[in-house]
Amino acid sequence: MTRKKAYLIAMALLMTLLTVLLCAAAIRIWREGSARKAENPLEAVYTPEKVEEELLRISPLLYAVIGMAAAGLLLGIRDEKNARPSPAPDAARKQRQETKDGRSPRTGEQPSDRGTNAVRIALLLAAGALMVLGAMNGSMEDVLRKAINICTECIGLG
Amino acid sequence: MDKIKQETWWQRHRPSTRRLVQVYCALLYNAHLKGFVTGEIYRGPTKAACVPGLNCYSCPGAVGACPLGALQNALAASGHRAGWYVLGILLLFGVTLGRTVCGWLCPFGWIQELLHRIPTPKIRKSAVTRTLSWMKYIVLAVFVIILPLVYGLAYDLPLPAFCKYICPAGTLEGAMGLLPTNRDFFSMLGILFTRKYVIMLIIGLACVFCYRSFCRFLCPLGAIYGLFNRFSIVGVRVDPTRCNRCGACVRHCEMDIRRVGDHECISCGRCMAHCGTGAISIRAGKITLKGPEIRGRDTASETAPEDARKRKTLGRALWGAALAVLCFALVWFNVLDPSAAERAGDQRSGEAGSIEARTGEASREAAGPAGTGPEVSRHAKEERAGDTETPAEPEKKWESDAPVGYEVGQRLEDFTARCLDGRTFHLAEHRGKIVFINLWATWCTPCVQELPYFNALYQGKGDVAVLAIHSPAVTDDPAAFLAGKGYAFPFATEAEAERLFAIVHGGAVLPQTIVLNRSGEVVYNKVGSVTPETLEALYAAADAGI
Repeated sequence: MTRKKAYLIAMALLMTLLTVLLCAAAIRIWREGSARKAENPLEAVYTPEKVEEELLRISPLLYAVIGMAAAGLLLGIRDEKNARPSPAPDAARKQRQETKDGRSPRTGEQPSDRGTNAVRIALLLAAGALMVLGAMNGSMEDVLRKAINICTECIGLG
Repeated sequence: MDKIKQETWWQRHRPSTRRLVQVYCALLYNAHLKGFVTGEIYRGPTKAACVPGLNCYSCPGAVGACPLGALQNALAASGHRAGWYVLGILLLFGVTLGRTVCGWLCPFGWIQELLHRIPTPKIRKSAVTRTLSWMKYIVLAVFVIILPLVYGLAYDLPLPAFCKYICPAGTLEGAMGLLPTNRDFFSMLGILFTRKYVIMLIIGLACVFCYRSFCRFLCPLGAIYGLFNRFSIVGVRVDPTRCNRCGACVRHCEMDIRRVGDHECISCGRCMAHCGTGAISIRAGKITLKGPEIRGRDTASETAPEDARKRKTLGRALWGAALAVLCFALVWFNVLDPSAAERAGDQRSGEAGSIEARTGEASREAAGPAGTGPEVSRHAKEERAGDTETPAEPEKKWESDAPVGYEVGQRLEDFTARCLDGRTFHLAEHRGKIVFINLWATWCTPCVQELPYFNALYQGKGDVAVLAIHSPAVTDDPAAFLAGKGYAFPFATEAEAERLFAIVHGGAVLPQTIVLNRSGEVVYNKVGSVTPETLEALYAAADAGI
């Protein structure tokens, strides 16, 4: 095993471990907090102190991962296998075969320009009309009102 | 070989034009940088416009709306109003750009590519990933369209299901963006956050190993734009007269395409460097934006150097204009924006309201017995204005000498609110009762879900007063929304909302609950949803004088 390969595998393991530990920390805080909340409904499940405590515990691994990733990026270490082409999907293989056999391929033909332009113009006009309709019926105002107020559960605060 | 050795580190690692455009867009969409410091989201008029990519509008820096969030909310409200505007915006972005948005203009796409740069073994595309790429259409159908529609039409419950249960951009940009500067939000975190946080971490890890995992397998916005890829004006195009069907473009592409320009193609243009015949270019209609390359060489500049020079000059001019726009946006949204000055003024008047009330309280105390201070004269003014209902004098044993304000331990400023059912709610009349004030909105799912809890509390206990105040941001008529729901407690009219929100320090985050003890002192004033158990505990705490 080359050093590059060992580095890549080590990074993969560290990244996975970091993710697992972060998930475990969140689940642990939630479980302990839920138990406290079951006894006293006014208790918070998550507290800043608990979150900071867990982050502090994981921080050495986090810094190690950041440091190793930065070093790898600076040194240009990468999975060389990834730079090689993937096997072609069935459709592309068929096309190549048809070309080799002298048959004209069924796929890959462009729609006619005139037809495409007509569709584009129709869709653009429809888009404009819908936006004007939306401004008139108040749905644009709805977008604004929703965007300037946070619904907490929509961003996971709940 | 020698040529490769002569390349400097910078030449090997120089960011591509596409990377620069991605960074530019991420900055432009989140130009309200001071929001990351103040912990407040931007609330100006530009949020009526959707940005093309996935960028949560609850990110403190966001200056535009997220098209996916807007679509779900529009579908959830389709019983009240058709969401033509959002459909028009999506159609516009789809027809003009298609999935070029994903490859060039989406901040979350950029984040995924950055994660993929972390040096680890990588999972290449295969038949499995190609099959998984259809999953995003299922996510689109179920979480973005069906669930919001069903809950909105059948239950009148706004449910942006993708935002609520899956979207990692919301967790990363919204929650992670707001939590460090709003420590009181921690009390709102629960199972929903835990689930979304774990999902975000898993998606992040997947992106490290597998190129653009979220984009390929889960993103409903990419699914929508992919439907337009065939017709989009801007995108990667293959010249059929030059293409020899070798398939090199497909084999080198990291997305699950079957041919360049299909619904999985994000028009990143990386296939251009692998095309042996120069058949691939990025075009906007008939205009070539990036000419064909043969094995990494821009052949257009070799065959038509004059055109190449013109393109270079035009490119520089466009970059100059773009940077000017970005600089203006950064200055505007962080310094000059008049809507920010208005909000600061609102905040100051809210504080002044508290200060005036405190001053009134002080002068009332100085004047002697109750009935001579400005608060009474305010009531007298209301009488002269025609409001014939006057509040009863509070019982002397429930009087409080705490300072007037909205924080815990302070006495909430007395107010009178007209209600939807014709009643008038006088706070002073409810001394001796535990008072629950709930800030809600028809478009807020947890707000609507917890109204029955307040109703049960109000009907179950004889010494509880409840008042619900709708957010000043009204999208649907609250009276029509509440008709037939049978809530017994009063709801303040929309006309009262701004004034009452200022008194209780309500803001952009909902729901919010304020609890007053029998002396009118605040014992609880927090954002976040409540459960029946929480309400019982709050009642007990207020009753005990805690």
